[in-house]
Amino acid sequence: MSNVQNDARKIFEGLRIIDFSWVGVGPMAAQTFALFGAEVIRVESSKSLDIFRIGGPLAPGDGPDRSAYWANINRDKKAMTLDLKHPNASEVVKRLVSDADIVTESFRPGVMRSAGFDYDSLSQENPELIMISMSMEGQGGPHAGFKGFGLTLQATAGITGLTGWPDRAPVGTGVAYTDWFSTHLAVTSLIAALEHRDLTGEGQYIDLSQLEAMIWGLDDAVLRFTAGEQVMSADGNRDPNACPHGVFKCLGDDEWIAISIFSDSQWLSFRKFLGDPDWAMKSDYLTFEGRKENEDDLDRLITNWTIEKDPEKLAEEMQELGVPAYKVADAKALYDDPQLDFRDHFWEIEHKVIGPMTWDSPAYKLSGTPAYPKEPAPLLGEHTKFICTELLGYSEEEFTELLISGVLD
Amino acid sequence: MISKKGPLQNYRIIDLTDRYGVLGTRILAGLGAEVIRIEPPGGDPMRKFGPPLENEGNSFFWFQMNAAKKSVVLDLKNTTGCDSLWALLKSADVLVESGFKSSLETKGFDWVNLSASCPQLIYTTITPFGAEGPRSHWSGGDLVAMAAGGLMYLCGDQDRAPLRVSVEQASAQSSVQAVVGTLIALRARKKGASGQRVDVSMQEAITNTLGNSQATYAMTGVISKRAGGGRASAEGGARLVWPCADGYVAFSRSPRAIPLIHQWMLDEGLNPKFSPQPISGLTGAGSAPSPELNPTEAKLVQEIDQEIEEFFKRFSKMELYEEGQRRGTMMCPVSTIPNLFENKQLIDREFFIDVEHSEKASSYTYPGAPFRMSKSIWKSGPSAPSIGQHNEEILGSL
Repeated sequence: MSNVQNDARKIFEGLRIIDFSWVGVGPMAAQTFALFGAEVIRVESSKSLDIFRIGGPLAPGDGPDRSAYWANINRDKKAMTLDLKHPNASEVVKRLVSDADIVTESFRPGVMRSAGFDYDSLSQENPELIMISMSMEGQGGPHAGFKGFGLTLQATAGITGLTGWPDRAPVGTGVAYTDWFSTHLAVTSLIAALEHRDLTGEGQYIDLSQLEAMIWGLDDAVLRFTAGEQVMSADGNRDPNACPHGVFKCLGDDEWIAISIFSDSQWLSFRKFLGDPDWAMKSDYLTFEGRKENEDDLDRLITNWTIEKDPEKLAEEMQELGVPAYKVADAKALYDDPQLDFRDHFWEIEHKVIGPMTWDSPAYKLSGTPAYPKEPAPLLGEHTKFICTELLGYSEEEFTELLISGVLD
Repeated sequence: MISKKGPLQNYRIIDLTDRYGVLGTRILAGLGAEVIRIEPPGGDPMRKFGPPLENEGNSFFWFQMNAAKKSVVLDLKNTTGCDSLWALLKSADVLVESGFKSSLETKGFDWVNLSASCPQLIYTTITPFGAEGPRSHWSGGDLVAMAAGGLMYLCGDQDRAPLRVSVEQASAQSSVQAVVGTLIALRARKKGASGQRVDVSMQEAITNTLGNSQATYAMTGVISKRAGGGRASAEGGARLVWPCADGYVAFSRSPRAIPLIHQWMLDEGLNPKFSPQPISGLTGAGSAPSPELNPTEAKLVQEIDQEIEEFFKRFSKMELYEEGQRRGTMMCPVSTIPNLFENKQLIDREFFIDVEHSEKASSYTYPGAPFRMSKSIWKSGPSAPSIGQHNEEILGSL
C-alpha cells in the first residue's frame, strides 16, 4: 500500500474512473476524484459535443477546446472520443470498464441502457464495479425523461420559489444551482460506495436524482410543512433571527454591502461605529424585537448612511468592531479578495488552447494532503490513442482498424 | 445483500456543529456513521432554533438535522466534561465543528493538542472565511458568506439589491463540501496518512457555485450581472420565470422552444400571431450569451413573450409542467413547498418518508435518501435523540 503522507495525488491513486457524463454534475464529480489522484478517463462524442464545450466563455478561434467553462470542471482527466452508438462501441466499452472502479454517466435515463451499457451489463465481468447515474429527476418514475438543466431544475426543487422579494415574482439564483449542490452528494455517494466495497468486496449502482438531492438543501422547510403546516417562502434578504439583516446600497455603480446583526451587543458595536447618531439611538432598537418591528425604517436609515460609503472600506472597519459585514463581491472583487488569495482559491494553470487561466479549487483545505494544481483539462480526444494502446491493450494495427471503423469519433 | 448498517458503519464522528454545518453530519449519519452530538447540560441551543414542532419540545430544524444521530451531554465548562471529550475523541475518527468561533479552542482542544493526542483524528471545521488568513477573524453567517463568496451578486432583480436564498445556501454548501473533504481525508488515512485538519471556508464554498462567471471575467474582463428570474450573464441573461394561473413556471424561451409553444397554441385552438420561425439573435437561457438583438428582433421577442405569457396564464404550473415536458420543452414548475408533495415524480419514487417519533408515538414526513444506492442503506431514522439519550451507551464504554 502506497503511503499518501503529504501527497494528495496518492489518495485515489490506482482508482480508475470511466467518465461518460457530460455538462455539469457528472464532470465536476469525476474531477473531484481526479484532483486527488484518480485516473479519470473522460469519454466523449465528437458528433454530439458536450454542450459546455460550446458554451461560453470561449477563447478566440475555432474548435471544441476553447471553453473555459468546460475546462474548469474537467481538469486532470484523460480524454478519448468514442461513438457509443457505433456497432463496435461495446467491445471498446467492455475493455474500458473491465479494469475500472467507477463508471459515471449523466445522460437522459434510458440512453445507457439502450446502448447496452446499463449497470447489469457493465458489471457482469466486473462485479466490483461502482456506477452512478446523475439525471435530472432519477432513473424511474413518470418524469424520468423530463428535460431541464440546473437553472430550471432549481425551480422544480423549490430553490427558485425561495429566492426573491415578497412583493415580486421569485427569481432563483441566476446560476444552474442544482449542479453545484448535487455534485457534492454524488461524490459523497461514490466514496460511500468505495467504503462499502472495502467492507464487502461488492460494487453497486447509484441512482442520483438531482431534484431529490437538492431537496436536502432546503433547511427544515419540508418538516415545517409536513409537521407544522408552515410554508416557508422567499423573504428578500431578511432573517427571522437577525436584524438588521440585509444588503445596502453603497457608493459606486451597483456597489452593495451585506450586514447581519445577530445580537444586541453587535447592534451596540454597530451603533458605536456609526458614531451614535440620533437616528440610531431610539430605545426600541436596543432589543432584537424592537429592531425587528422597525425593520423597514432601519433599512431605510442604514441605506441613507451607506449610500455615500465605499463597501470594502466599510466592511473592513465594521469587522474590526466585530460587526458581520462584507462587500457584495462581483467577479472582479473575488479575484482581488485577500482571503481567497490567502487560501489560494484560484489556481493558475496554462491550457493548451485557452492559454494562461485561473481555475476554481476545493473549499476544503486538507492540512496534510492539500489538493494542488497539476494538469489542465484535456483537448477533445487528446488521449484517444494513448488510452487505446497503453491502457486498453490494443495493438497499433488494432488501433488503426478502430480509427477506420469510425467507432472512435 | 443490503447491509443494515450503512457504508460508514465503522466510523465514529463527534458532532459539534451549529446551523452552518449540521447538514453535513446529518448526511454522514445517513450513511451509517456513528454521529455523536455533544450537548451542554440543558440541551443544544439548536433545539430552540427556529419555530418548534408542537408538543415535541424541539424545533423543526433540530429534528430535520439530527435524525439518525446520538446525543451525549458533556459539561465542557468543567474538567470532567473535558476529560470525557478527550476520551471520546481518542475513540473517534472525525470531529466536526462549525461556527464563527471555536467553542473548543479556548478549552485546549486546538489542532496542535488534538493532533498530538489523537493522531488518527480528522478535524473538520466550517468557519465563515477559513481557519487562517487575513480575514479569518472576520465574522459572518449565511448572508455575509453569500455576499463574500459571489453568488449573491448573481441573484436578484437588476433594479434592486442582490439577494440571498431564503433557505441558507452558504450553510448547505459548506456542509456538503465539508462532507466531501472529510471523506477524502478518511480515504487518505486508509492509504497511510495520519489524521488531518479539513478547513472549510463558507465564503469559498460559495465561490465554487458561480457557473461560468469567474471564467467569463478572466477571459473577457466582463462582469456577469444578476438578471431577475433568468441566467446571470454579461448581457443581462434570458428570461426564465413566467407567471401562470396559480404561480410561476420556469421556462427557457429558446429558439427550439418557440415553434413547440406555437404548435401547442394551435392545438389549443388559438391563433398565435407570432411566427415559429427562428429569430437569428435569440438564444436560450442555458446557451452562450446572446449577441445584442437588433431593434426589430427585440420587438419580435417582446411580442412573443406577451403571447406566451397570456397563454401560460390559462394553465396551472403542474399542467404546464406535464404538458410542456410532453411537448419537449424545458418547462418546470416554480415549486412552493406544498407543490413538492404534488410532484408526480417525487410521489411515484416515494421520495418523502415517514419517520417515527417514538416518544410521542407519532410520525412525521421527512425528505428521503438524497441518492439511491443499490447495496447500501440510507438511514432516515431514528428521529433526533433526546438530551443525553446515549450517555450511558457511549460514556460507559469508554
